[in-house]
Amino acid sequence: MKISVLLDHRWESGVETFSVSSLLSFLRLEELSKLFLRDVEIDYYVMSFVDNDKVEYRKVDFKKLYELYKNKEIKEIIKLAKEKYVSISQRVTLDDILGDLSNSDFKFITNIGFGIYNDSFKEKEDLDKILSNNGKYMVMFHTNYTINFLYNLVEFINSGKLEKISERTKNKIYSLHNKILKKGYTDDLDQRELMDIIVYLSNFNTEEAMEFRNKYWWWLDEVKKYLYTFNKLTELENVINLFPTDTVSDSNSRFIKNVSGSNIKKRVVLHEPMYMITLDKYYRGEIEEYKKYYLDQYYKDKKINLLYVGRRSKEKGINDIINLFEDLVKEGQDVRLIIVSPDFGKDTEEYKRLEEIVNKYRRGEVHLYSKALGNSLHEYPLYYIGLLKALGELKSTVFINPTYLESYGLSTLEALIFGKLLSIYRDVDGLKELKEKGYLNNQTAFKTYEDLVNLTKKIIKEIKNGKYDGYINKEEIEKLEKEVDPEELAEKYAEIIYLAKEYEKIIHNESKLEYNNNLEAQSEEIEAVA
Amino acid sequence: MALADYVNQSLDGVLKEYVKEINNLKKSTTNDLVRESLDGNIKTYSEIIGGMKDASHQFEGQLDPKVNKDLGYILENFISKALNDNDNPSQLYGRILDAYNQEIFSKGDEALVMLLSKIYWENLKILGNPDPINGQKYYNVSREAKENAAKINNIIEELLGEALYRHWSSIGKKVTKGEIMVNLAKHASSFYKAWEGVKGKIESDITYLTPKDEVEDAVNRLVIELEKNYLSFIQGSIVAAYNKRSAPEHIIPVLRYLNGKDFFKNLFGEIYNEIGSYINQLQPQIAQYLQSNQPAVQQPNAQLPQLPQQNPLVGQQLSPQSPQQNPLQPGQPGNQPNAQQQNQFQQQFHLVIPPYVIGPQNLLQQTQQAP
Repeated sequence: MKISVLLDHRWESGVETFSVSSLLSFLRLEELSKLFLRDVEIDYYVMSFVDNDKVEYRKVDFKKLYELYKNKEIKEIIKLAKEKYVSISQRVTLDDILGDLSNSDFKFITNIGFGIYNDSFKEKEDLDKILSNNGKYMVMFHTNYTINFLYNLVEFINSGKLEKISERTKNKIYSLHNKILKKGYTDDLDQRELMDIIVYLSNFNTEEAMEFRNKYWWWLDEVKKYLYTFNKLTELENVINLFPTDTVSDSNSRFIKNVSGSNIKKRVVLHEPMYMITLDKYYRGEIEEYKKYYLDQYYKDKKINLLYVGRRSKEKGINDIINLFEDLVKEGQDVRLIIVSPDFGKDTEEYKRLEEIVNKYRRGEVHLYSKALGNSLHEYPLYYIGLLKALGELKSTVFINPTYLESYGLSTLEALIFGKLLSIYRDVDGLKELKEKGYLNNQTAFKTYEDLVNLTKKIIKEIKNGKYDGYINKEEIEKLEKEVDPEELAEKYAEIIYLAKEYEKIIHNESKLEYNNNLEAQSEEIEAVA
Repeated sequence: MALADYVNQSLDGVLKEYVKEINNLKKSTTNDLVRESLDGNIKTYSEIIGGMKDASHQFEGQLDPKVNKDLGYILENFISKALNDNDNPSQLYGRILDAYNQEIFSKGDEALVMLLSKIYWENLKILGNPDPINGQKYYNVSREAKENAAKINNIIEELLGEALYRHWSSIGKKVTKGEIMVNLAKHASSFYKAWEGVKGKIESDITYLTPKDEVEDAVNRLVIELEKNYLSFIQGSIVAAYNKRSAPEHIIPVLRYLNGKDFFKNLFGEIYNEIGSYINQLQPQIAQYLQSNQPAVQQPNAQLPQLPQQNPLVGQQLSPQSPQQNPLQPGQPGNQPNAQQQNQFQQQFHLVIPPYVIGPQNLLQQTQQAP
């Protein structure tokens, strides 16, 4: 059996994490195939940007990666992945890949956005060739596209570059955005409203629409390519669409139905693999030492820590966390705000505000870990795991996720898994689902800023009374840890590939629960056969 | 002879004989291709046997109650319960070997069938099959355990099929190996049950000797631990051999040869003796401990003396400064590390990423040391 993996390494944050983590799943899959004496060959391709945003394809030496995996050199594997495999790959053309894909029994594409910003696709036919009817496919969706597109529009308006945009259009976009934030999800009506706005901006010859096309033609082109890909997916019987949550699955599927008029055929909801789990398994001793360092840093005083992890952007709720810090300090609480963020430079508005707050009230403290300050934790995940574990042991740290948009909630999952941290979170889409699955405590959800302040004060009081653990759903979190383990997920991928190949038993449009039951039922059969 | 010596001697013996035979064969040919392939065989078998020897080195200490904490607790419990009941621990322990010899190892080839069936079925259970005796299934089995189970059974099933074929042929049954192999799990289940039967025999022997349930329970725990170590030694050797050379076809003849030399039976005896020697060593210490903690006069409401929670035997192994024993308890001043420990931390962690601090007191350094 031949499997081809096409990694789209051009995206950041969650998609990149998925891309790196899924490599570990495929290495494990290779190991499983050897273990069960199955004849499996894995071809591994990566696409990345080179000069002038040109797309480059490389064929990766998977055997070399597997050797490293067998020797448990996980750090080296992740380093190579983050360097986009340049030192262990050969440049190939799209035609080479198309040739190999046509001979593959199963193709795995790590991001549905592979067709976007892709200068190698001269014609739509190239995209069609990649998604042909030959063999089986699994394509991963990471993002909730309705919310993504809408938030892009909000950003364009906020940038001030659209001088001719009318109040009517602005209000339409803002009110749709506010409505979705309030509800925490998108319904069919919202999706149709969004598409009406996009269709208007793409086709009408009003001044504002023409200006929009002039300035954001590339974005409209992106949306068009997504819609083309979505439409293509609805036509194909041989594609398994992989989603990280029911929310992302439901929202995207309805969006696709609303724009194309047809349903995508097969859906699977599976957690995304998390490579930090593998690091934690293989480098526990080393991490333990880092943990001790951070414990040493943080146990000296009995301060309550508020931990924020995420980009410095409004949709992630950065203003809410800074306002919360100010409100608590103003009231006399000597709290410490710990921020782990890639872009928190000294010249940013948010950095200056935090400095002002601390100087004004002569109380409170802020600890920053940021690439922009030269001390990124995300680039050295072993330290980050160590920090989370240390904060967890302190039992005085509250992880706060005030985001307005969250398709999966990776940082929240990391805080839960590695730190078992008490987490306060906004009750929106991806996080709402984590609550419903029992990973997040339902008493620590909030909707408005006022709720956030009151809840945080209440929680601080409870922590001081030793009630930290009561807010952590430990058993569920332990289960979750297995569910996001790339090596465990390899078994799920193996089941999907095996079932798709041998039994054709992927049932159309099943709910996640039904599908997983089906997988469970099949797994024993697979083991017995193996 | 100590366990490691016995294993090394046996394995070295296999290799020596093999190399000798191969060298004889080499002498009889001048064909370079044949000679080179014979050299290749020597390399393969050296690696496989080397892997098994490595596994036996890794097993070192596993039977030392100061290292293997579980064994330490089980032995302490066993000796205490036996002494409290005025039983002789060594005599009780002797019952275990008697039962294994009587029920299993005295049965020639059948013993191997039982042993292989036991290993085979334990791994089938790990792979999700229900126990043939009580129908129970294992849940939450780790990935590694499943992987090892698959590796081991991949090898064991060949040996087991062969052993079953020989056993039935020897008692006049007309059966082919193919017939056995297609229904291996079912055939093996009867022998697995027979192996498990030894525990019932030990239990009934003990109930003849004492009415105390806690003694019976302590003996059962010890039997399980003894068996666990025995089986894990065998399985560990197979996995180690497999990891050196993923070639079941070469591992099987080595195991077959070893069995012909009563290796598995003797191995059980070696493990039994090693644990027995610890029982002899520990018995006087525990007897003294129990005596010194005996209340002088039994008061009607006096509490029974309790063993300290920290196992005195296991505890001796750990240094008081060991981080495992004295984890940092942040926020509790009494448990803060001393200055020396802090210095060690600072020296050791000078590369760890420190936070950038905005604070009125600037309590923490803002050094930017990227690793």
